[in-house]
Amino acid sequence: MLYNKSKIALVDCNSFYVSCERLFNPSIAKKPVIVLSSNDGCVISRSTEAKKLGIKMGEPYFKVKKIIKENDVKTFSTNFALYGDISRRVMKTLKHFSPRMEIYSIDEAFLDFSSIKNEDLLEHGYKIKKTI
Amino acid sequence: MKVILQFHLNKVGAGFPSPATDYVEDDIDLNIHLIKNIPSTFLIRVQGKSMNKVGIHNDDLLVVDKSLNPKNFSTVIANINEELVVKTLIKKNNQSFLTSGSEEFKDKINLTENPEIIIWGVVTYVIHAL
Repeated sequence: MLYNKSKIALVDCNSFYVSCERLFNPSIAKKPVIVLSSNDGCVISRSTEAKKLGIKMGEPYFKVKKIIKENDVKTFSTNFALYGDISRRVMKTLKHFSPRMEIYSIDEAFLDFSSIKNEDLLEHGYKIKKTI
Repeated sequence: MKVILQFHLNKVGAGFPSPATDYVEDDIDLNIHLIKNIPSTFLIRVQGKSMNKVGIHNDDLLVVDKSLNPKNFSTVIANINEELVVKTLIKKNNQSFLTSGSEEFKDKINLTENPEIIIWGVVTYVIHAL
């Protein structure tokens, strides 16, 4: 019956690579931003503004070049050293919020919330969001 | 930013052991002294002279903690006009200002009137080459 009571949270960072690029570059905070895969092949991260322009996840760069030019979309090649560093910082911070944690990807993690009362779950989630 | 200074203890094959062996302390680690919260701390290089009055000079390194809440007269990194800049935060009569280190400074920015300005982090140390 124990599994009935277990509560697992999934943490997923919004447009993670774009968020990392924006952290040290406030000039792109409100502009459409995309990050391209290795060798600038495909679009792998999009800001909300870029999503609204119709740029799809995984779309090849040459197909969206027109949209990029017409809308002044800020385009970045990957900087995995930066994303890895920020990811480690996020994960270290998340660890404070649960006794059990499993890192799932560079920007996703599962947290065990079983010890948290149902009525406190939402509050705990907001607290994590604010801290990160 | 890891600085480790080694202790060189004399090797003693036989006879009287070094009396200092019992007093070995940890290597000096500047991270411990300068960084309280590792995941929220960043190092930022200063460009410009606007903060010379408070002892922050061109090319200095700033230790910045994003998790701290700024207090009155905190040195902060703020996002002004889409740029990260270092300023002093001053709270007066329920209003907050950013200045370049002095209350009298003419270039002070009223934070209440400019809600788009965000405090990015709080400067905890300045690393300055002499």
